[in-house]
Amino acid sequence: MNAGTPILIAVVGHTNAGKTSLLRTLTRRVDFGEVASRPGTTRHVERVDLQVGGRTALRFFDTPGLEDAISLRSHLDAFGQGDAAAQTPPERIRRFLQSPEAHGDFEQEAKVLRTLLDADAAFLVIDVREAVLPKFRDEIELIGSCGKPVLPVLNFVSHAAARTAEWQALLAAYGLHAVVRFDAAAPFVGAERDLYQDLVTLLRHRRADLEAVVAHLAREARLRDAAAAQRIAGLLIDVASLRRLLPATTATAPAASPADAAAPSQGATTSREAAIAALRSDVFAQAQRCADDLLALYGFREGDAGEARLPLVEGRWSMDFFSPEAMKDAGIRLGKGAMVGAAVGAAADLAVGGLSLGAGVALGSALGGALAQGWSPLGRKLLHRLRDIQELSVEDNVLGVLLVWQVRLARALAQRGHAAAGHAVAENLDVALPPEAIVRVLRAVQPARAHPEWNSAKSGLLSVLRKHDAGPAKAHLLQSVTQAVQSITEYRAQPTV
Amino acid sequence: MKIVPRENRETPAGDALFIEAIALVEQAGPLEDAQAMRTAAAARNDSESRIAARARALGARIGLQETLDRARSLAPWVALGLVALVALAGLTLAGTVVGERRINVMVALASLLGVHIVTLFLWLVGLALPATAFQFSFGGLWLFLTARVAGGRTGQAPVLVRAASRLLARARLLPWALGFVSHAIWTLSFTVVMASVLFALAFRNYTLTWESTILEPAFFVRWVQMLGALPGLLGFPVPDAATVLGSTPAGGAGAAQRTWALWLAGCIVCYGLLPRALLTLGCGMVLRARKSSIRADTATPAYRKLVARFDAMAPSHVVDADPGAPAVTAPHGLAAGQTTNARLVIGFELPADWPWPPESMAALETAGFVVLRIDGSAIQRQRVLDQLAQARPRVVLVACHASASPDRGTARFLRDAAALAGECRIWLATRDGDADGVQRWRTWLADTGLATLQASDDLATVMLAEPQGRAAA
Repeated sequence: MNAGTPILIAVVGHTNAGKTSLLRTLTRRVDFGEVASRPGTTRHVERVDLQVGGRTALRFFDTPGLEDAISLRSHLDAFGQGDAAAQTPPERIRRFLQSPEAHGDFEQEAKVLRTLLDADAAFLVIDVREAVLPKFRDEIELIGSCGKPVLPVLNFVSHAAARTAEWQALLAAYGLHAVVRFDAAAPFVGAERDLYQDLVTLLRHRRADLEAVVAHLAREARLRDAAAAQRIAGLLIDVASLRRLLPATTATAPAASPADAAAPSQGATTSREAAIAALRSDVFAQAQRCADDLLALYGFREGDAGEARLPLVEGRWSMDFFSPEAMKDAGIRLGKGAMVGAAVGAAADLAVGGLSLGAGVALGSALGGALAQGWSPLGRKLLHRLRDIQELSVEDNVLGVLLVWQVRLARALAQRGHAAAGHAVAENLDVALPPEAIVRVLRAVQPARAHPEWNSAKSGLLSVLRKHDAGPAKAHLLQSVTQAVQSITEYRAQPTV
Repeated sequence: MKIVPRENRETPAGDALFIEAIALVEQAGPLEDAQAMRTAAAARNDSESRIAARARALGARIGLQETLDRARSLAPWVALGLVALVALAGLTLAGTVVGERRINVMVALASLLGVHIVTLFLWLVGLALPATAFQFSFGGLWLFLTARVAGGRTGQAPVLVRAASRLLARARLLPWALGFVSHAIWTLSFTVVMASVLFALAFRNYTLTWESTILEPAFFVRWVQMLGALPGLLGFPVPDAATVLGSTPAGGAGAAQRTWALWLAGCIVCYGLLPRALLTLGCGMVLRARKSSIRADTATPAYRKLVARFDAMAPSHVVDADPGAPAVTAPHGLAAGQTTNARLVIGFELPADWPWPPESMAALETAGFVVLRIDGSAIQRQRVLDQLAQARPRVVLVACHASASPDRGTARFLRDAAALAGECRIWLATRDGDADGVQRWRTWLADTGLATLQASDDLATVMLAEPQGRAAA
């Protein structure tokens, strides 16, 4: 009979237990309400909807914290005594809500109880780091006396000071056996689904609606992860296809040894340095756009990076993708040969312009770029013969670093709640990704090296018509690289289970 | 001329075109879309139609809609121009082999049907290899020219073309859509060609011949019979062997010419007009049947990003507003003359597993202190407050758990206790030096109007300091 109307859920609990944090996470909204470590941050009742397929499926009410349950319980005992019409607990609560103290000393508690009386169910948020005290018993009794199904949500279960077992015993004493373990500040994969599935046991007549919500959330999560993988694949293709052309005369100076680099004309050196710097800044800009897109994809605003306290986001571009330290950090300690196969010898580290045709096709796709790697004699010779132009492109190691960073960022974003202001985050981001999967991705992206026009930043509108057929071919490559990237995320998913 | 999806306004396919085009434009950098996001969020409920509404609003602003409208009105004329071109080319080619009213039937047939057969073959190849279909069809040429005419070189038309082709390619409809246009153009061209050929043959006297330098006459007999078989089924006459052999340039004329002319017309109908007309029909049917598969790709990062942004715009409403915190006054303790020399230490709402009194207290000079402990329940609170009222101590020290969150219940107790003693102090007890918790309590005490109470996480400080009352006296 209720199908179609939203399920009303009051989120209640002691002050500072993390009610608003929970709601931020459940609604994926970093800007909902106000979160702070001081008590009594939320002082009003605020409503926020969860939409499923254009329809409001769940309507949450964020309530102020219960702060003075002990006194309120004593106060409530005065109601209903000798009044036959007020013998049930909810009736006594209603009487209280009409009394003057409901707008006086117990204003905040009255708001909670008023909201709860109109709701279908309540999430009772509990900070399990708190010691189990009589005031919490009174809170549970107060909430219970509203006569609504209550689902306790244990927050901060992964904290060192958590007293989860004690809390579960207390809740069981009040008949609250279904308990959801949650951590608004830590990875919450799976907890969200548990929450709604446990809610089904309390609201059996809304089973279909809640299952639709669970299915919707699972679908959205899958689509988000797939989109993130595709975005990362797009970045890799963009960067792999990045290229800077240099007249050969400016690039002939072997930069492998500093002594040689100093020898030729000053102008040639500076123009080469300028080209390298320009290429690097292109890579940074594209990586940053990808990171910003990932943030937006998971419902974080760009400005929230600081608030979200992600180590990756905070120091994100202070690190040099091109330094050996970055590669070490990313867990890429593979030699170049292992990266793209034995075809890339030490000598063939220069992608040469004009080699992408004819005999160059196979060779060209196998050749890594040479950035800060020195110009190989072989490459230079080929270059002089063929075109007198050198191409500067980005090396596979750098692609590997980009890949690992972005995958870690996406993973962290996918798993984290939207609320963690001021909470230490125990995210293990430094686990090395499987090298063979990284190599698979880097192999998959190689064809992009032969297509400088595939770089999305470069392909202006003018080239749109001329390069019609880049569409299907690039789309195909994007698909295969996306699959390879996804294999990393899926590989990662297993050990965490 | 009806082409999917360009003709569809406010349809899923039309929405998809705008979504795709805007996504392409935004690859080069985001558009300023605050207004479009707001109106879309207000007008629609589900993310799919919101994203479509946003794309249409942005499309109207950057001129996509205008270009599309122009392209739509120009498209039929471009197609007609192509028809004229094809027909003219075919007839001119056929005309070059007409010398002194003498038509070489084989060359005429080849020039009228040759290009058509080749492009038809390429289209069939394109069906198998969708990626290559674009370059080889009049459909592609038509799309290109329409875009060029409607938008010039630099406008938004190329974006629309690319968006449309990507959409169609994703729906695996690109060869069918372009094929539909190509076949329609060819069908119209053959109609024009047939009309002009029949007109010429009807009212002018031509001699239809064949000639060869190296081929046997029997070869021509066989070919004429073979090619004529299909038109024959439709009632077109087929020249018999004698007619063929007699129709060399040197040979006869007369009634045989009529057979030849009808055979030629039958071949053009059967191998040119009819296949193209049927394929036009077939492509049209495929397009109609699979029109619903032309949809925006909801899995792309750009799309999911918009979904997240629209989700975050869901308004939250304050349904029960905060009237503002009531004015608080600092609690006043008992005056110096009203107190006794008793000193009380109350452990308030400490975790049950903490020893009380703590070891740190045992190390201090605690003579004269009464040490109590309550878990905060109403009965115990009342009992302790009664005790305080009786003892009227000079100093009461309340030990609170600094890592726990302070609340109004605690504030109520502190106020009550402070009112019943000369001075109330707070020890913020921690086990492992929770500096954040201590700071939180201090801030809270200040916010709650309890800043006058001395609070510290160092037990000795709060326990052994001289009472203020005595110092004042």
